[in-house]
Amino acid sequence: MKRTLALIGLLVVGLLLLFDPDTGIVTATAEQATQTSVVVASPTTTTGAPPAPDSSSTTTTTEARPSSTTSSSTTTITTIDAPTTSEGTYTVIGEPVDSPFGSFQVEIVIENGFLVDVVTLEEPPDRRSQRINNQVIPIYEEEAISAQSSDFDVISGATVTWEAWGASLESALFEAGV
Amino acid sequence: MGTAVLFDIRDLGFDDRVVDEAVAYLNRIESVFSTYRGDSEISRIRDGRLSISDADPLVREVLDTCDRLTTETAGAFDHRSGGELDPAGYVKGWAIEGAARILVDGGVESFLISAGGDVVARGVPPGRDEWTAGIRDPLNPDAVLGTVGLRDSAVATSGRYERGDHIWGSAGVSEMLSSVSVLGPDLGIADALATAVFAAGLSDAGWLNRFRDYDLIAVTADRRILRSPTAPFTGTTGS
Repeated sequence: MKRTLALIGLLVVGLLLLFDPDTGIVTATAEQATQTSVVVASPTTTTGAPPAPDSSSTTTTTEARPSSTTSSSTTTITTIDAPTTSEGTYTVIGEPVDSPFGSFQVEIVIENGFLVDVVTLEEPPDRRSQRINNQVIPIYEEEAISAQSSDFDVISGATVTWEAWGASLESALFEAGV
Repeated sequence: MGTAVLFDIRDLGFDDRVVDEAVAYLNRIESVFSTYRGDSEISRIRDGRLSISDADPLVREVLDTCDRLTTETAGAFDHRSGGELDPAGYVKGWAIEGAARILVDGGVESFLISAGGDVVARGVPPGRDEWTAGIRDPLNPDAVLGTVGLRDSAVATSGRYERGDHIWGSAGVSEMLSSVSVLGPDLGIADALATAVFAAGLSDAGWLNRFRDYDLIAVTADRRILRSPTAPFTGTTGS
């Protein structure tokens, strides 16, 4: 049983945070992907978090596979373990994701298994984008934390106007296991 | 595409490599069909550097299906509008169906693949008789208006999620749609139909009746939910 998030057709510089929930120590690994980054993780079910759609799922940690980047291949495969605790407050930084507008990167704050804050760390600098971003991104940040439900396996519907922002948020949520 | 693709596989044991194969396939489709890339085949066809007959055979296959869909939707699905070839409204769903086929051929039985809000489902999650997909609230990106059940079927949603930005149906204000979801056996068709209904508006979508295996859920700008009678939709507010 496995959930895999693949970023297709987006140039990604992966900055993955590996958590040690007991010590709260975060180690960062920077990976350069040429075109695709495949992030493989098995989210755990945690108490106190919203009920998972499949409540019978159990924790399986993926084996650490050495990451490899080949010059002709377009895939870097990186394996992480999702955080295994629901307690406390911690931050997850999503992958920086390129888009036709520029690069987006989102940071989320998880408290006791719930998403409580979303911060946009990086957004395109050009003026038109800036004007749009100043109006719209605060709305997206607010709305991303407003309603959380796990009565379904997946959501159908575009994430946000800029798929890169949504992809960064999704990567952060996915890594956080919420 | 240029999107995040989620593979949610519930089989207890399967060969990991089929996922790699599916991802490689999606990247190949992206390199052929992406209009964002100047060197993609579709871009080169658009500016005359490449003929369709010299292109990847998949281009011909996609364009033939798109031409058929244009006819069957009385022009509402239009991949050639304004003279610029853009089959993206079909390609995304069609590509995910291809990825699903790779997983099935590789022995995977129970999975979802989700890309940019389009979802294909095969088999069932353990202990349940169908997969459940939430339909996103167009005005509240992390909330859902209801759920649909999927079993060897797919759902595609077209919509806009910025405030104040809506597509006008040709009938005018009363028809403003915020999102359209189409459910049915093939995600490529569902994707094209959702795109077409969203563009044409509901009053000009009589052709939708020809697609008997496909169901519709539409959300208006004032948050009314319109649905075809057989749509397996359960509203969160009991609607």
